[in-house]
Amino acid sequence: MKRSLVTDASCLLNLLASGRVDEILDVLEVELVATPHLRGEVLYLAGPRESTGAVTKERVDLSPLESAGLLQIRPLDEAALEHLVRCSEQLRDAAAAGVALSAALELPLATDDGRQRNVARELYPRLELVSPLELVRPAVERLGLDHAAVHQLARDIRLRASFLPPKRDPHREWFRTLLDEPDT
Amino acid sequence: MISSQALGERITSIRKARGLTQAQLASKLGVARTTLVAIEKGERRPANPELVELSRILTVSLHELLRPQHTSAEVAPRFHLPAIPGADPEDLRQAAETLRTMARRFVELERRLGLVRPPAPLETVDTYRVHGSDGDGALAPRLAGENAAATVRNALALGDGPAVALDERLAVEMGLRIFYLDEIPAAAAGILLWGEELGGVIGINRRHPHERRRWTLAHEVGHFLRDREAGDVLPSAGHQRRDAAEVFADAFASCFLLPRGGIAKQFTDRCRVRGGAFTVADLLSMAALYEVPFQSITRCLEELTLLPRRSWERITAHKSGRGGMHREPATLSQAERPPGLPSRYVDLAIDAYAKELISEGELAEYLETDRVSARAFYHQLCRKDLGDGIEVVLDLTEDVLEAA
Repeated sequence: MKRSLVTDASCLLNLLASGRVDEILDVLEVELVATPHLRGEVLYLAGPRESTGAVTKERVDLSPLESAGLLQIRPLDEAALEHLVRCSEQLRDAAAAGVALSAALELPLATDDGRQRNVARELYPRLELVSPLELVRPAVERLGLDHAAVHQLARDIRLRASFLPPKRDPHREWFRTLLDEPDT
Repeated sequence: MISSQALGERITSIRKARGLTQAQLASKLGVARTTLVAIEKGERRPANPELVELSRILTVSLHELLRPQHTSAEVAPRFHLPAIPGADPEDLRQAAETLRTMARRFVELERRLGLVRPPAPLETVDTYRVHGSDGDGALAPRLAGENAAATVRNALALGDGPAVALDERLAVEMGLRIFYLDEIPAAAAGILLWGEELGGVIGINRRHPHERRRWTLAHEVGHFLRDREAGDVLPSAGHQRRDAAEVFADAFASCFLLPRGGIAKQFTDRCRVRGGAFTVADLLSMAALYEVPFQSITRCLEELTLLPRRSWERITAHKSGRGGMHREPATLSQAERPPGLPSRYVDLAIDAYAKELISEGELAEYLETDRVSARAFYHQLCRKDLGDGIEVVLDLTEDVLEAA
């Protein structure tokens, strides 16, 4: 049976940047849940540079994930509103909505955002928090990707999502080691 | 028509610049050496075929040989190109030659427009000049350099603040001709030439970062003030020699770009705002304000005993080496500072995000951009290139005063 996680934009951007979000979610048997706020937050990934050197942005399309049943957008119901109001005292609406949905549904929250994690921990000490790399690393191992593919995945996350794991992330060294290896 | 004598002098000058002896040039030209001597003395005018051949041998256009208006662009005889570790001597020679050529064109433009450039106000300052072997006189080179920096700052009305619009000011107030060149090899940061006709000419390695280029400029200005005839070639890695000239130039650059009074005040103000703390983010901010390398501001604060000794070493302890993330495409390394936003506003947003006081979404909102661009900008601030393929990852929230 699939496991449901509420996802914040910070996590979803990294998964999308990997280029293997559907494989990752499939092999982990995870379904992502998010509030409608997510659509306004997950907007762009970094694209290739133009000949002028300018950085391009690639618009994110969530519909393939939704169509595949890997991402479910759920509005907050009345029960969740109390949580939303509580969280909104310290977080912007989008981040507050993520914590609220997670608390209301009693589902883990997948996020890399330090502020959001701190508030969630403070208001809901029992809420499980999952970092993006806590999804990516086991998925990569289960998928049995070869060394080159894992290296490329890490590079894609780094470049397309401008992601670097924070100091507190236990998988930080794993990710940095992947990036420090020369291109094969 | 150019006189035979002037033509002969021009041929001599170019021959020497090409490193040819009279015997060698004569041989290539197919004439006796005595014939070439006569040509160079102006006693014999070259025939037209000989002129064409001289143009080919000396790799100079006929126009260059024959035009009436000419700038000799001679550099002071005391200038010489030193050996720079990692630099091909021929590359260095060509860079110096390019610089001389560009300066000559500059002078020629002035002449064509009938402009007579009077000596600039600071060009004639003799106070710090070393004449012959009389050394630095009464003042030790370091003190003299610091004093010179204060003098120039006063003359440029810079007060205690950052030195802005340097190129324009130095051009006007010192008569300097400043060029940014790709031809300067990577191992060299800058070149100072001086000649009677050219005046002071500074070439700076255009491929260096902005802050590094400013430092090079200030360093060469120091040499200009002290001993312009000797010129200078500044290695990218800094001079190994610690003679009086280098001590003076280093002290000048440091005090000119980082006026001690202003630096101390900036430091104190920032500490007061932070309740006694001073973070790595503050260091970066001050470096950006004064447009100097991050290491320079750190060392300056150490020298003023405002930061503990070896703060630089502690801050830069987390390094990654070659072949790592620093080899990423420039996509990430050139995330631009959000346009139109005050520097302090941006600094505060970054600071708050680093301390997890605001979320990633809020950071993007404050910076008026999307999340990925906000991330790119933040990570760019945290990563500093120390040169030679070494990058350092900074903790912007680290209190440098506490870390000792």
